[in-house]
Amino acid sequence: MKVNGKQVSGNVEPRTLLVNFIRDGLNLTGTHVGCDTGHCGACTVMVDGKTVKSCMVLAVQAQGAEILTVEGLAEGDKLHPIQEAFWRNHGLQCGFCTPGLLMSGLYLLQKNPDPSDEEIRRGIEGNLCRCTGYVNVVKSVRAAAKSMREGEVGGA
Amino acid sequence: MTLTTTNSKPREDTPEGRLEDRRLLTGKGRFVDDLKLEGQAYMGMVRSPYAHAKINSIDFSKARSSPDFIASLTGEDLLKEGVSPLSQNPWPFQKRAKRYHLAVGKVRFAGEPVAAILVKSKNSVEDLIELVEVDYESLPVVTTIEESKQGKAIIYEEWGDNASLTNEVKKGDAEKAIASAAYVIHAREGIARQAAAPIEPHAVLASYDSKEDAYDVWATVQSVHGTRDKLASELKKPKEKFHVRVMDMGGGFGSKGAQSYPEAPLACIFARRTGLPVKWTATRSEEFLEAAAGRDEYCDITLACDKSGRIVALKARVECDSGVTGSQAHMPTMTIETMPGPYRIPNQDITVAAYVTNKMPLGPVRGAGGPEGCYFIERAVDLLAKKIGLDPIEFRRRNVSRQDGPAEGEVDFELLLDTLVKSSHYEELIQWRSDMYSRFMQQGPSHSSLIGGLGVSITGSDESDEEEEEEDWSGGSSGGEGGAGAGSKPWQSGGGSGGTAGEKWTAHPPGETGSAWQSGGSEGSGSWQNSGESSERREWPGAGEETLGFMSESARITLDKNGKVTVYTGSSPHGQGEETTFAQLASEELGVPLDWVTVVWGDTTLIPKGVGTYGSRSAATGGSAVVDASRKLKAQLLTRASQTLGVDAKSLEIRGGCLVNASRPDAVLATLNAVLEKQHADEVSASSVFTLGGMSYSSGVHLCALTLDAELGKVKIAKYVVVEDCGRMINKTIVEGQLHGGVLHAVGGALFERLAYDEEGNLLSSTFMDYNIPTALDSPDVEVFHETTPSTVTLNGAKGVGESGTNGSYGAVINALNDALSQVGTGIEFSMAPATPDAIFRALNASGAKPQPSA
Repeated sequence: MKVNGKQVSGNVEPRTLLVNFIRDGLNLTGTHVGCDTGHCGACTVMVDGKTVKSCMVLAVQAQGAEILTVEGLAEGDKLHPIQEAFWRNHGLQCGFCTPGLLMSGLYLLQKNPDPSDEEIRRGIEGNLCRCTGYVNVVKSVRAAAKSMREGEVGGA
Repeated sequence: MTLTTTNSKPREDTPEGRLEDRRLLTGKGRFVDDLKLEGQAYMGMVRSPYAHAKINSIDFSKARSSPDFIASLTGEDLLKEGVSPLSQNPWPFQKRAKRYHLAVGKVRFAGEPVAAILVKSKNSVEDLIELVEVDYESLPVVTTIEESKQGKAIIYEEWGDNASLTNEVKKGDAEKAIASAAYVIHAREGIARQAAAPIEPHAVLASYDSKEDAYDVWATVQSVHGTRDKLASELKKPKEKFHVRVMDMGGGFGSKGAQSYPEAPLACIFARRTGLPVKWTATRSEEFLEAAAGRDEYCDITLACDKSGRIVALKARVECDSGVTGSQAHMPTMTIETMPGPYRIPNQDITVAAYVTNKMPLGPVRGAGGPEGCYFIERAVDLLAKKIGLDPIEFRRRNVSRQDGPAEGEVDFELLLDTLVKSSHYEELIQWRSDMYSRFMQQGPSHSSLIGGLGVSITGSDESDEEEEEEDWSGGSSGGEGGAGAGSKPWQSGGGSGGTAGEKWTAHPPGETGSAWQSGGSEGSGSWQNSGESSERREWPGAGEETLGFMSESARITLDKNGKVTVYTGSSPHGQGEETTFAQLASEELGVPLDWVTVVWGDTTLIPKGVGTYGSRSAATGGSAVVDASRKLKAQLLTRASQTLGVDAKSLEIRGGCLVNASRPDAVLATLNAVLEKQHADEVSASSVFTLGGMSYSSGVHLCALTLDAELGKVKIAKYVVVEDCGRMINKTIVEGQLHGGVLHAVGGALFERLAYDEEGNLLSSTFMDYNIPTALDSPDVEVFHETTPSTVTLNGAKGVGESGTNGSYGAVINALNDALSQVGTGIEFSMAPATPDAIFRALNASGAKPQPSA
């Protein structure tokens, strides 16, 4: 499979979860495990452009897939607009659920570049956060939407 | 002590983003489960499926036959090893019992570990746990307070009964005042057992160095020092033999605090026995089964007022289902102490009793007894206001007003209420509710027909509200002498935190004080400091000296010749942003740029002594220590500069990392680096152990506006406003973030969260499927407004704000729900939290309760 643009491979027990392959096999520990049952969303990554809770998928199911984890968002020192937005809007406290929220937020914005607050809340509903009350997470996704839209206009 | 900092505005140079965020946003955080050591083995816990049972035998033979099996431990092994039982904190009024890391002879709650195994691969942990065969003989199970009182089974035979704690607050003559009062209400209220539920489960990584006979432990803990001290005590080694660390941590909310857990000591034992590094990470279900839960308190309350609406008496009996005895069963006492809140009630008769049951031990969860106390009084206040026919805000105003206005340093609750009325546009909300009602009446109850409800709640107490204090009581970690015959003397705990509205407790040891106060062989992390008139400052101590108490925290600050400032703190951030706020404090006090400063925490070698982050204590106590150390370092730097520059130190100031003329700050005389270089000093440092001279309370008023779908029982919060007074805000954005999260924690507690058990004591809600913490769709866009009355006991004017949102929110939400229900004449009052959609639906559909438009 390709992870964050790099071709990777490994031999795993068939029952190995994708999240364990990412964390233990590839040492990409930014993707977290919070619940083992697909509810908390801390393990959310993109598989072929769609968000997937990587504790719910076997590593072998992702054979040949293209995967994006939180480590693949920034370009060098330059944060991705959604990371920048979370940083500037206090969209994280302990930071444990954040990688998953970044992925769900990004997926939402790819489908809907100008979401309402209600749409943002719906888009991140599958990611549990116990610290922020989601207030600044919603604000961050809104800000990211704006800067990503403006970025595209600026680039055009 | 006079307040030196009166700057109530947030700093203008507050950084736009937090200093800790970059690594967390790029996947470079270092959480315990992210760490790996070469050749590490994995620990698995074999947990009891029975809530109360004798252990007849434990058979590892099948597990041993697996090539992945390395080692095993049982309770009997621990006895042979000479391990001390799990540490218990020295609360003087709580009965205690020995509990080992692995059950010995008997299990007392479902999920209690009976054995531990060490295996080679992560994938095989659960397989091998399944292969361990334990023969149990089930015993009668106690799952409720009633069963506990009746003695369905005696959980600790040596006690003779199941009562574990009693305490009381008495003042005036409540009985008499109630008998002659104009208005009286009675209510039965409660909050179910609820989980802290940080998104990161507990984890440990331990390794052993046989040459040094020393342990290296990484653990998800809110206090590395407390953990080190417990390990030393339980494994009977000097403290210096344990290097305990934590870096990033995915929330704690109390559950990673002072509670004693078995896994870190067990990992150390395995590491020593096998020579392998040992890793353990809880599954979410283990987290629900074992991580200390909170609440589970129920209250019969009577509140009375005179004709003018002044509350004259409060009589309350609180009962708590404390689970098996744990290290931290003090929350019910916090409840009765916080219950009077901001109201000066002349006659009080509040008692509390806790009973052990076959459930996991109760521990502190965000607010730690404070939310319960606040909820109980705020619900009762609402009922009384309704009985008199007064607006709930007006009724509260009458009862928080002070004849001569607030004293200096005292929070002005009337002002908070005024600000709430203004900032929430209260009049418009009343109109909104009225419009909703009209629409409901016209349309009749249908799926689209919603009822609006408004609820308010106050949390807090005054720093200056010391009138009830008689004399301070100092327990001391060795215990006995403090508890014996202490009678009813107030004492203080909690490091100046504030979220919890009044951590002034009345120590009321049970009759059998002497025997009840036998510690299970440990000092835990408690050494209670006497609170004198003034705050105390001491130098940075070594690890071997006495343990610091809740009222204290350590800080050390260094400046090297390259201009790097390092702040070492005994606090232990895990979401609170102390890496940023403590850097701000040091930068401001020293006069150096923020980007010079790095904050270091969570390391018992680099920081020999500390207390940690819990009880909303860090900004107040840890922050004061940082300010104190910074001021000392600054004084030292000015003295050095005066020697180098040949001028009076008093004429110097530090600005932007340079020495300037105090009267002409734009005149740069030298850089700090140059001064250090001239003096051949590679590094200068100063340190502090700061002890608060009193408590520091954050206060707030909350307003919740919600809609209730009268057909489906579904509640949606439409608007939520908090007006908070947490003293000086070091960083307004972070303060507001704490309040957002704190409020939502209690919204979950008011509407969704319940750790449900069946009658056999099995936990039914052991995943996030069954235990609903709020999602983004359930959460209101909490609006926060501020008043700022600087704390008079902290050096930075700040008060702890971490728990304040949670304390205030249960009452506001449930009061709003009842307001909605009352408009349609259902006769239903919800006083038990959570009021789940299911419970509301059932109540609405119970015979005769169906809401009907009255027109």
